Amino acid sequence: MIPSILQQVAANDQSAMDECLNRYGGLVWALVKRRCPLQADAEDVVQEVFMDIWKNAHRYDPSIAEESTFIAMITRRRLIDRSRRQQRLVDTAPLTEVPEPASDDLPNVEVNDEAARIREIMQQLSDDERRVIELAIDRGMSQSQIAEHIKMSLGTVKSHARRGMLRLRSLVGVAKPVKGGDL
Amino acid sequence: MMAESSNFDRLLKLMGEQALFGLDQGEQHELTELAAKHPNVQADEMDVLAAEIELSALPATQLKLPDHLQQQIRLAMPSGDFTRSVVEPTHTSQRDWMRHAASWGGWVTAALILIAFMGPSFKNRPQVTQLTPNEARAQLLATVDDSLRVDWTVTDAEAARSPAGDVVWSNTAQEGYMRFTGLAANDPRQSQYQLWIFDSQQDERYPIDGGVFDIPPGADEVIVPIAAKLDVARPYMFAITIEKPGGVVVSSRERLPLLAQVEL
Repeated sequence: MIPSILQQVAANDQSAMDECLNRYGGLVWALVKRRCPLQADAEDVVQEVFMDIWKNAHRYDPSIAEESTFIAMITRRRLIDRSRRQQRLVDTAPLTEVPEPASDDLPNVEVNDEAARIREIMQQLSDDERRVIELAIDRGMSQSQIAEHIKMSLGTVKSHARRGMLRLRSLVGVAKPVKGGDL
Repeated sequence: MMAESSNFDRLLKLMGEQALFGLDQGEQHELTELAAKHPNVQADEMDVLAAEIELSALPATQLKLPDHLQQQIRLAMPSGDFTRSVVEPTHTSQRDWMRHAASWGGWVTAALILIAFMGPSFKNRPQVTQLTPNEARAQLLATVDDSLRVDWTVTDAEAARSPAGDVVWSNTAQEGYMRFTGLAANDPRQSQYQLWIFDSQQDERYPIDGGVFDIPPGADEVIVPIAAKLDVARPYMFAITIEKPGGVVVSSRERLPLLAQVEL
């Protein structure tokens, strides 16, 4: 069986990181650009993500997750971490410096079968649950930003997020875990 | 029984929050503890779901990573074995640095030399006001009134054979630097150093994570910027532990080579 790219990276194959960059550079860039409109910020994050990928490649297990899912998970964690740091900074900054959330117009996308499946499953959530989850994932909004955006109390937003994720977990069956996900 | 059910509910709640919004340090610790009590649950199940949902929203035609960024990442990436640190080492002699780099061969050498000349950032953008960690440390000491400086004390002679150095921190600037000489080089695929800041405003069981870092082989002196995950109010001790790659949320403190105690 041919080892996956991430397994090759973990095995110190010198060409594997190059191949990883070729294959997943566009994916990471796309994910990062959704949250980081400033080019310089986005470039910083992408470099950090690839360092995280290099450090954590040995945790990837191809029997339980797609490589792209593992890569997206690492990227999301880096982006969430960055967003929480920024949020702490803007808590003490003038309100005018708080970044505006992205436009309401979500990208017009084509999705593959697996991706379409998860979006289909999301249709079984209540409108509020789905909306809160989409704002968190598609826009990278914090709970308080979502509360303000959709004019709900913070407690209600937390409740919709929690219930929505529990229902999703239940509807999908227990999602396949990525080994060693405590990155 | 009821407590167990309550713990499980709390675990799922934290997993959901981690996937959508991230967790603070205390919550991460709680999640780790609860997940250990429920081995049938993978703590990142919901992260996987969130990643799949996000993937589903990407255009079929992906963006292309800009060529210059791709090149920068290639230069910054390590070769097959450990040859690069995520921190920028500072060297007492530029000539020594060049000689050391020259022994590594190939494109990694070229990258390292390039990095040495470009400063701490690999980014292709103006560096006019970018200070090296050494310069930034000196500036902090010279210009910030409340900056403190404490020498490291060795607690594990194996990891730190003839160590020296200090930690500099300013509460008002929320900025600080660690300086090391003689601290053993680490392989970041095996382990990394992690800084912990003990703050009198925090529970001592949960010191503030000051960031993970590496010590590259052959460096004369390494200066590492402190990356505190929370605001530091009144630090009374800085501690370096050796942890798994990426660091940990809560350290077992089994391997703790250096401490720096602040006189309050």
